[in-house]
Amino acid sequence: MTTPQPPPKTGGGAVRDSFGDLPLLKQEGAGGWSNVAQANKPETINMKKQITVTVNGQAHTAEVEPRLLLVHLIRENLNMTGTHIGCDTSSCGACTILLDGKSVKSCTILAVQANGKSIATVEGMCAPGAPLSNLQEGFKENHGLHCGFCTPGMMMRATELLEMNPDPTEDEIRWGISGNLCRCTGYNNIVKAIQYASAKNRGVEPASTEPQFV
Amino acid sequence: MIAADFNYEAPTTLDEAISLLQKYGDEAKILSGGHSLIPMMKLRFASPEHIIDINNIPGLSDISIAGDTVHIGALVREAQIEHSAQLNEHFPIFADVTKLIADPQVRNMGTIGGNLAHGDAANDHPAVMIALNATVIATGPDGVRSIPIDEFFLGFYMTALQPDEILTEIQIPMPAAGTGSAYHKLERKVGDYATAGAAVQLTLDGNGVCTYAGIGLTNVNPLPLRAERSEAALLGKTLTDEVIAEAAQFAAEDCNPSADLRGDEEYKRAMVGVLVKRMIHKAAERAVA
Ligand SMILES: Cc1cc2nc3c(=O)[nH]c(=O)nc-3n(C[C@H](O)[C@H](O)[C@H](O)COP(=O)(O)OP(=O)(O)OC[C@H]3O[C@@H](n4cnc5c(N)ncnc54)[C@H](O)[C@@H]3O)c2cc1C
Ligand code: FES
Ligand code: FES
Repeated sequence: MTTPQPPPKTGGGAVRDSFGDLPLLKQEGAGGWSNVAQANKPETINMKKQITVTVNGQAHTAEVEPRLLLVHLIRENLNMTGTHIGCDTSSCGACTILLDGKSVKSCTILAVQANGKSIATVEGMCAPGAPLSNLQEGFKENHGLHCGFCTPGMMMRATELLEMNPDPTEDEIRWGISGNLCRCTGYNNIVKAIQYASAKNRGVEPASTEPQFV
Repeated sequence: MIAADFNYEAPTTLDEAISLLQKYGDEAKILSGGHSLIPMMKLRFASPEHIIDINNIPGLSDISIAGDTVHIGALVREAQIEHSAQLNEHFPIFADVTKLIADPQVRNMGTIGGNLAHGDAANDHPAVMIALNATVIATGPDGVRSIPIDEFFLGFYMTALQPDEILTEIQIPMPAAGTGSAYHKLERKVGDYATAGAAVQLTLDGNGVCTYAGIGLTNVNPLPLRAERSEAALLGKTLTDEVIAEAAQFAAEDCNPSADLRGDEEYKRAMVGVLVKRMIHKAAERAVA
């Protein structure tokens, strides 16, 4: 077994401590991270790519810079602003969408990575004027939202959760939405909203709804 | 936050990907789940000129058991591991660890290959791979080579992978009868990296004597750490409370944590001791279950 030389200690990593001990400079030679000045970059950099994504059943083709984030494609190129940006650092879940059926944080995915894939956003949950989906109804009936900023992400995450686990326990719901932050409703009514949708999806009468205001 | 400009290519074969890596050398980065790489690029801690997305290369997303070896493709997502009955039947440690990695959405993207290739002692899989005595398979222009896990991590964000190599698979020996494994990390909140973490795999023979001990530690050392003295303290012994306490004490002494927002050095050493002790107990319980 080799005994590699420990590198000099820095803050112990990068991104995770975005509020604290970030190493200000990358370490020279550490892992080959290149931080070449933009000015020195060859002309070929940033060649636009043509991508096609299907959003809520409708195909869209766009010409995008590789660095465009999926959340910006959705909000700015496609003008669908139901998907929110909260933290922009993959922590809050406000930007959650379904990518080929899997809930993901669209602030940490490049638009080019979604080429050829299908996306579901909150706008697809029900057509304007159509009856609300069970999840939307659950949030409405249980006071599952207050300002509503986290709600689209919560509902998209809950969509996959209920797909994988149609009758989750309260614990499983709380664990299941652990990547979504709500700063104002409090989680109790969000959990109830998901329980309501779970019951209705299974054809069971949802428990009587007495929203909690804490 | 927007990353600096880069070129994006999404090859559909390994050969194509490797020749792109050869062409661009240090200026290229492989993109798997992107959940370590893209945050670094958005913060401009990294500005690679070329991104080689390997997600369109088939054959890298399978979990299989062949003979006495488990093969896990580099692009297997955390969520796939979390829900793999086949894997969790033999290695309960995988259910332990994946639940503690980030959150469900991140686990839908993050891959085991990326988690290891990132070369960060704060990630959770490195310690698990040490406990399980894994081998990393790298594919490059000269073909395939096997890298024992103890030779894989070389420094902060630095691994034995060459710029033109792709981590394609992880191989893990199937556990002998009487084996149990367990992982836990102390985290301040969901999605946090470990204050300290401990991965343990043990094999006990019919008389309760320990015949295999693998112990890896998360985020308490510049490199993912094998707690060698702790392993030696268990081997050939019956796991009495005294034996386990000694092994835990060795781990607390031998790690090298740095003080940060998660705690000071003394606290982290103490937590290593507690976690190693608990995980030895848990792995031993599972070994006889
Ligand atoms: C909010 C958040 C919380 C997180 N919490 C945790 C946590 O608690 N524990 C934990 O362990 N991780 C955590 N992570 C990290 C996460 O698990 C990453 O997904 C993982 O570290 C990297 O895997 P990836 O597939 O996303 O790799 P990428 O980001 O695509 O790549 C990471 C690095 O590895 C290289 N690379 C990737 N694949 C290969 C390959 N096959 N061959 C060679 N090089 C390759 C890339 O070039 C890059 O340098 C967290 C991430 C986020 C965003
Ligand atoms: S905006 Fe994407 S997780 Fe917060
Ligand atoms: S309803 Fe306001 S953040 Fe959740």
